[in-house]
Amino acid sequence: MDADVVTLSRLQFALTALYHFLFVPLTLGLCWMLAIMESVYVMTGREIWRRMTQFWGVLFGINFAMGVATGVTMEFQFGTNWAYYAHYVGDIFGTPLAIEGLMAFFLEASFVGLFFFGWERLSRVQHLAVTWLLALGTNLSALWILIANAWMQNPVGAEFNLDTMRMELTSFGAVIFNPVAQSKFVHTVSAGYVMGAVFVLAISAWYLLRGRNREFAKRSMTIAASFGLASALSVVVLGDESGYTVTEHQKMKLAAIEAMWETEPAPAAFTAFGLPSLAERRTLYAVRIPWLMGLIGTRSVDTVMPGIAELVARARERIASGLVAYDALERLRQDRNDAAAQAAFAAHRRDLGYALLLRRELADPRRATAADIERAADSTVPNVPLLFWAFRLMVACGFYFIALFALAFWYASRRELERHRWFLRAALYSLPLPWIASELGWIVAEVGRQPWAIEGVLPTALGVSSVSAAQVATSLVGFVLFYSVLAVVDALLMVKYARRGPDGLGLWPAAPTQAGHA
Amino acid sequence: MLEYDTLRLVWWLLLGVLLAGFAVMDGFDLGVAALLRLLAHDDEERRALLETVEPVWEGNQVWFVLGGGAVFAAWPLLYAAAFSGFYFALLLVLLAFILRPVGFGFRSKLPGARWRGTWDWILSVSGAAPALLFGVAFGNLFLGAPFGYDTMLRLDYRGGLRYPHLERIPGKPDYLTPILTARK
Repeated sequence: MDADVVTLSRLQFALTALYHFLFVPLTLGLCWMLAIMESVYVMTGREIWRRMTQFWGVLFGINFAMGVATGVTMEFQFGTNWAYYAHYVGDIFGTPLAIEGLMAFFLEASFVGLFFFGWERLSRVQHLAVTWLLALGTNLSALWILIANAWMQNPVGAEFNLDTMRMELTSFGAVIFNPVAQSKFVHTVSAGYVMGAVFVLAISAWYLLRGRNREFAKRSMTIAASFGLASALSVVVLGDESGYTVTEHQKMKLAAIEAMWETEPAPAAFTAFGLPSLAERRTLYAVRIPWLMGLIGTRSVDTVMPGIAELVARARERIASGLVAYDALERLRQDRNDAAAQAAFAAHRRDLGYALLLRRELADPRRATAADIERAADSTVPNVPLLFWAFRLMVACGFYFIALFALAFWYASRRELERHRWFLRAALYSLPLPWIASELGWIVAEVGRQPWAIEGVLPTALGVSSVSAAQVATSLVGFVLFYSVLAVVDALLMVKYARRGPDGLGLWPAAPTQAGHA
Repeated sequence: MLEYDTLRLVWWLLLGVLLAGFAVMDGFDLGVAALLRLLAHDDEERRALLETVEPVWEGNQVWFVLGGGAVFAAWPLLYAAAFSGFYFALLLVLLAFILRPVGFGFRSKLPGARWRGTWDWILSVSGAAPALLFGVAFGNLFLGAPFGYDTMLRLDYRGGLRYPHLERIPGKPDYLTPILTARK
């Protein structure tokens, strides 16, 4: 494996995914708020609610275009840059992606046109149905993508076929009902809902600070406050659920997030602060809260959580076992009727992926020395300091959102949103936080999976295409250049439209006959 | 359960439908965008042209995404070999498909002549490029793009990667040069 191709391909995938994830969560959250606002319009018949749906719809549209633009790259990148990955697991991983295109993306892409262009042509109820279906489509889309992602974290319902030298699907039901997929889906979409709510809350707060669009902004803030409070609570509670499923399926990820170098007697302590050092394998200046980690991670007082050192030792054993499987596989490819090899392969096949860890450096893992195996076992530890801090900042954002929306909800219920200018300022300055939290969440989930592309099955380094480093460097520069320019244009356009506001756009107050055109 | 041969036939038919759907549905979007600067002379005419596809182009683009997903799920080998083999061709297609949604979404959001003029150019190029690249790539598939596998079934492009390129068929009339010279 060419190390440069691996590094550049990983960098390209990470950057294009992070860019994509700047736009997608906002789409996920904003579409429900549009549906709620329009429902109020249809139920009460009050024109202002229609205009609210249209105004936030304009901002939704600007963001939606970027989400679609950056999304296409993701689907094709597995083929261009991760060809071996695509070949090795395409049967399983490609299926949810295809279904996503078939049902979810078709739904959202068809209805997004009707949403913007159907105001004058559809009846109220018809248009409301369009908005709800658009919201449903975008969220179903997230479901299928996260089913695919969850399979990378917890590869269920699949088996290695030694005739085709690749993974094949054994149970589609197991892939769909993967417990990791469920907890990931609810946590990720909730994060999107929080982003949508903070977006509406912050921009509305800005109008109130300026004394503009007051009727419009107060109503928008009320919707954002209630929707946001429910979402912020669910993102934290379901994030905890997500953590619990990680305990079962990705022990190394959890140990790395917590910088738990050694196994501790149950229930383990939680490190609230510290500077994890990869070189020394310990956490400097650690501030520890006894019992907390064990309670969160295992929901019991007596289950032991393995530390990093113990998990590395387990990985070493699995590499040794994987080498038996690899050797048996090579013999079986010479002679399919070799009974001894068949028995050895059957006994050790689940560790085959661990032998592949050695293939990053050695053409033939069977020639591995003890030192090679030691290095491969050490490589199963992901970037501990990055995970430790990304996780803690994300969680801090989560708790902050609960406080922010609880206050917003309280003030909105008492109809005193305008009275507390400090709160309006806090709401405005909170605008970047959901983006930071979402990107950090992606980093925790995907950096924590390393060195695996598919946990325990295929190392990331092996997944790359047979392309040259120069090719990947060219495409990387191309994507970064395009995305950066477009992201800046997108942000400028958003600011321009938000500044102009419903009053500047002639949406509210407006002559009732004038069509609100997106 | 379906037999493997039946399943394969069903998927060939499905993929055919998807590609035909893409050619028909997305074809006219690409065409409108490509001809934007040739057919329409002022902003009003260009807006009229764009409005013919604006409500539907997003739905049409799904055929492209769906085609990619179907190849990934049903023929991972084809997906891996073709997309990494025609790396730069696909990169250019992707860049065009990145610009197109943004062009449709952003062009009419601001009134400035330079803003709209820039997006018109972007839309024209992002409409013309994929059609040309698909044509050249499919042409190369007929000519053959040699590849094989190593012992781990990792792709091996014999004689290096091949890139789609235009090849003139001897004796056929040259339509391209007059079009290109007329615009200058």
